Amino acid sequence: MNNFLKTILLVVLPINIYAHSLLLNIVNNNNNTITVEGIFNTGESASGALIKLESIETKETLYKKRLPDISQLTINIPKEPYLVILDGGEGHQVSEQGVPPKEGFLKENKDKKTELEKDKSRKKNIQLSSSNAVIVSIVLAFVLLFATILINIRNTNRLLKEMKKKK
Amino acid sequence: MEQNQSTLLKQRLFRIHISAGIVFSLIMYISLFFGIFAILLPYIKTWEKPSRHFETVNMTQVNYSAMLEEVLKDPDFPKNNVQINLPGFMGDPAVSITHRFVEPIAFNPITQEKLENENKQSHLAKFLNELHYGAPLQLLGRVLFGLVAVGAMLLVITGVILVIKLNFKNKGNNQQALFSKIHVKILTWVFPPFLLIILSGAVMNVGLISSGPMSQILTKGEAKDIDSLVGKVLFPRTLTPQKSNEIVPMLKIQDLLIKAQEINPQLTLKQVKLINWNDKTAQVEISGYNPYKPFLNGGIFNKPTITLSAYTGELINNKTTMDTTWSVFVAEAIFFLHFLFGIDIFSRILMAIFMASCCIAIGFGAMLWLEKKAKKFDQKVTFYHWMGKLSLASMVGIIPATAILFVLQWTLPFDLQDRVLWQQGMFYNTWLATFFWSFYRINSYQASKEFFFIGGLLFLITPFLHFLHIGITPYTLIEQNMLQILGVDIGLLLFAFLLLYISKKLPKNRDQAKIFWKKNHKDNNE
Repeated sequence: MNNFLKTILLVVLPINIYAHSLLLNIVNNNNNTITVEGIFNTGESASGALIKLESIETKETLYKKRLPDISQLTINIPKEPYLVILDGGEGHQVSEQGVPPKEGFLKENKDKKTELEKDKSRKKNIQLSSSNAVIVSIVLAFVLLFATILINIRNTNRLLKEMKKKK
Repeated sequence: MEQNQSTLLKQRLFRIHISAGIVFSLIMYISLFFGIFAILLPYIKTWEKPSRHFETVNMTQVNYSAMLEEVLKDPDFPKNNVQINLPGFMGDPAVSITHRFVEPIAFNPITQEKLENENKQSHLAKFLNELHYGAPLQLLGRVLFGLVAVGAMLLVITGVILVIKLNFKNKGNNQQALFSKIHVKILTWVFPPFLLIILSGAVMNVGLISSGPMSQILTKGEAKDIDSLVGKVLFPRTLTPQKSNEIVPMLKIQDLLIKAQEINPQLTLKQVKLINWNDKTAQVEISGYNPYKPFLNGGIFNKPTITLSAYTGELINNKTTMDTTWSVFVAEAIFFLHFLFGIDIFSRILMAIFMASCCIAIGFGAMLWLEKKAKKFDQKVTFYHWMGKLSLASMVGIIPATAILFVLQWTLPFDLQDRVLWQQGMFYNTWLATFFWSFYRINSYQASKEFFFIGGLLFLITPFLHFLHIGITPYTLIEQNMLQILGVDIGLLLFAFLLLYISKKLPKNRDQAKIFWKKNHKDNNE
């Protein structure tokens, strides 16, 4: 791509796009270990980012370590279904389902993942709506909106009457 | 024939300008109004946090070692590429030690104690900034505000053509003439920087949706996002030295800062990055801003840096402002005007006044449209138009709503659960309440007087609530050199007095308004 096109792209960019995206690469070493690599989409190393292995079933953290300077970690594969999470701080989390060991997971449970994810999103919604601040604010907002509509109707009728009287 | 065409063109331009103006004016006004607070963001950010109520010290007189040791003691904190934000960085008097993958840890550089960051309890400045670009509505808000910025560009361009073609005489002697005069005069003066600001605003918001598909089209599907395409140009990678694994004593950071200042005295130092710390190959990458070359550095893309060996103090690299490619300058310049990187308080205040004058001009533009509508109903029935009420709540009702945010900052306890949600919820509801009140009062003049008065009153009590909450007096703030914090209080007081003055001066009804604007127009012409 020539410089002209690159410059056009620079100009049409929003600033938050420059917050690079994290990429997670998982390689199965076929010896019951995986190599996890964290990298930015610009090719820059993500050393220092947190790698977590989390049990899909229990949500328990099975492994946790920051990426070293080489930006790669070799980790033993857990015996239960798990997620590999690359945690780059708020809003920068990438996760992928982990590969099974040679002999397979001890507690195989494929459907549970989706169920748990659904449950998680349900919980999130409940958490948001269970905040008193949100409930009170939303109720008050609706009261004010209805009151505005009612008062608008009342005042419009008053003005129409006034106009009829003048005629 | 030619004359007819020219008249037709003028008429069409005028109609485009009016219809686009009324469509975009409210959101443009809201964006500019909160933009004023966004300009003053670094000062409000310090003011809103009790933990930041201390003097900004000279960065070369701080002992960073103890704070650094405290942070590095945590086994979970990354050990390489640790970043230190120096005192005074973005107006923050604290030293914060961070890494791109962890939350910053703030310290008082005088006592070297870890500070309560209040990140979860206080979002005032951040929220005001988010309101500026529509972030509370997430993607929809960003796109909407971006499109409004594009619309505002259309308005500026058509407005300039109209001013050139129509040759406004500004001589009428009624409300409409005065509104038109204010609208035209202000925007004729301020349109060049205004156009640049809205252009960069449009780039930032609308670019969000356009950059991904554009990268795919231009690379024929090779690149899925823009970052992988131009990231290497904007952020060229520097090679990190290989560790020798030989542990050696490090030089003091404050001494390295003094050395960096000697190497490039034009730089205002902001951040220090520690590479391979404690190793024989350790380096400090000190970045800053060169105020003598505004628009070209100090922002996101072009950071002048001085790299020194942390072991010997030897200069490894001195990257000045001009040591980069022209494409980086283009990107830096576009964003500079919008973010005002490293700009001092006087320039920021100047920009805030400039933004406020744009708000006034837009406000008078909307009033001009409403006045034309109202004239049709004169003597027949009281003018009660939904757009008038919506404009009143959006443009004037926004003032008491914003004032509530400031009042709640110092009245809600900092340990209150969901403090930020309560504060923001009250803000939205106060704004909605002004919407209700605008419709409740048939007489909009009275409602606007009330909004100005309540807003003024709330802004007036805010500094006193602040002093009471912190247990500090203005004298102590002066004595302890916290002028930045006192500056916010004084600014709020001045704004409050201005609002109260406006509330007192504004006419009470339409009949009084006719005399009021006529009188002012006459005074102006004399």
